[in-house]
Amino acid sequence: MVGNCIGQIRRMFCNNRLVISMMIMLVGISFFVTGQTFVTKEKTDESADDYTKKYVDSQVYWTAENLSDNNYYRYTKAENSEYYNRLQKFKASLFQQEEFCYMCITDQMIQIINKRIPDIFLSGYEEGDIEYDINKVGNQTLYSAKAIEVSANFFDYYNIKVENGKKFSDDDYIYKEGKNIPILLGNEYKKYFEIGDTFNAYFLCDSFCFEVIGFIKPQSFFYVRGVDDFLSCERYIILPALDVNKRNSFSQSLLLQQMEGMIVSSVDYKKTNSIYKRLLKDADLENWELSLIDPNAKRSVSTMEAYAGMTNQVAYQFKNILILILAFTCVAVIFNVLGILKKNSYSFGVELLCGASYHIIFMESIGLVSSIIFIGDFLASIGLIIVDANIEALLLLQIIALFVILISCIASYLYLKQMNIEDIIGGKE
Amino acid sequence: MLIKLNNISVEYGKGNTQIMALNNFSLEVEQGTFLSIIGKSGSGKSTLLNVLGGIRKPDYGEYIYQDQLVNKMNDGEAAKFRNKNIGFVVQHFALIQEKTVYDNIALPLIYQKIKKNEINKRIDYILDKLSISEKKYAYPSQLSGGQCQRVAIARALVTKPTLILADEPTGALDEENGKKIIRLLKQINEQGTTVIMVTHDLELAKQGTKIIKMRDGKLE
Repeated sequence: MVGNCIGQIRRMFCNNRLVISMMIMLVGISFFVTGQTFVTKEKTDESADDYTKKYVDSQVYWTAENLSDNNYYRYTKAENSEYYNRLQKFKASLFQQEEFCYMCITDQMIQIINKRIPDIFLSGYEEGDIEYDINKVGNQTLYSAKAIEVSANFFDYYNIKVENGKKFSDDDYIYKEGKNIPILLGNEYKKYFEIGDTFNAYFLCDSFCFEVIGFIKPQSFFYVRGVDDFLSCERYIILPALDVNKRNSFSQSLLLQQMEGMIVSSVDYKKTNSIYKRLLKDADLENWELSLIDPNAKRSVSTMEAYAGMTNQVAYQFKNILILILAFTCVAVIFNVLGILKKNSYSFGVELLCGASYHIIFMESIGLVSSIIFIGDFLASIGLIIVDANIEALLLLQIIALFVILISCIASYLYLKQMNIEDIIGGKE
Repeated sequence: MLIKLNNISVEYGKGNTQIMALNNFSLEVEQGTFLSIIGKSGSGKSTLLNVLGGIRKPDYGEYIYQDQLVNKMNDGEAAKFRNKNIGFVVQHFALIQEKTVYDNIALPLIYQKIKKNEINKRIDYILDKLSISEKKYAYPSQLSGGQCQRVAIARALVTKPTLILADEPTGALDEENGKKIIRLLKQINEQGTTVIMVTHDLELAKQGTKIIKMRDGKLE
């Protein structure tokens, strides 16, 4: 009996070769698209959650340094080394805070010496103003390249990954005289630089040798308060926010510059500001013009919230697309299955005349439907494995396959129940 | 008594469109009878065959076949009943086009769970008896109408049923082939198998041992 059932299924396959091949393709493609949409939806959900957590649930504040001439003079005066130490202490205390997370993100161009770089990397390229980005000083030609100086937590916060090479190690954030400064380059630089390449450039008026240690993954963005928008890392040189123990004009400028950064806080502005002021006081810098910018003064946070909102909207749309594809798959499969059953209804009728029960016919139909869906599912699964989909997508696909089989079986059952084999004998009177 | 139908009613449709295909219909058929049922289109002949074959359950009344209450059988029991007791011969042969003659005839035997050797023996015997042995592996599309009906009869007889239900068995055949098929059915009947044949051709009906005429779902 089972053999006959399998034989019947095989016969239906053979008799409907074209239709069944098309159905298998339809199921396979629908399942593959469903799986892919699920993967994308998962990624978008993750991004949306991440964005919401970072830009909506947490407060983002910016710190500013506006030292008066008087304070700046005292800070840079050779015999006043204690100010440098106080600022070092303050910086350390910012990074150690539990109530908030301090991050150095400083937009600071570097001037590459005697190495021509394409205009797109020049500091004023996006504004259409590169006239002053290429300068000749003596026998040196300086190219002002866009660069940012960041602390280690920048990469996690903006989910920026290194695609080739290696990320900054803890050691890379500590400056040692004579040692190359490691840098990461945006993806666009790949055509012009290789890992291990070195070049000389001026950084805060001093000349250093920079060494390329890796390239940033494409589609990596970070927020720049100055332009109130997210910028791509593609054309940027990323420098580590260096710690310099030795006090000199470079380290003084660098440290002062690192006072301009970002604070991600779990508490409101008032409370964050009071903590910031307490830290200044603890470092004996309460009279220094270092401050936490009032978020109401600029619309920076709302821009970030808007990005989070957009990502949430995209995630929501993906969910809708997933549901639509799933519904389309179910309807398409059911219609096709019913079409095949209709085409075979005469054979079913003959089988019933010969002594088959509806149960047997139903089993044959289920066998046919399941075979089509399983083959489609198998092909879609292989496709998803090839495109490196995650295990959740594959599992979801199997659940969807079972669901579609269930729905198709119910549809088959209802169809067979109302199928009229009486027509074979004369038809209705 | 082979068949006893008591006050059988079959309705099609609902409300204003309702039709009584069989209306309080009663009939008794003895074993070995060749019963011809005649009547115009819509008189209830084919519905009667559907009820007799256990395909259509009557809405009212009682159908007894050799002491078995057929109208109370569930789907599985009705299928077994059909498989064991009844062979169908219909106007358009009811052959599965994608199966060979052999596979078409084997179909009811498969549902009886008969072993392959026995199936082969029985098919060879019946094909020989009906003189279509050379067509064993042909497909229905490769056969003439007369040959197709012979295959249908072979399939009906292969399970050694007690009843053959024939619905216009010569309807799709030319006169000569029609006569051959009727002769064949008569031979089958002479060997003890009850035959109930539906036709609207009075001359054909006269070949039976008993004729009943139907009109509006009743005996006329």
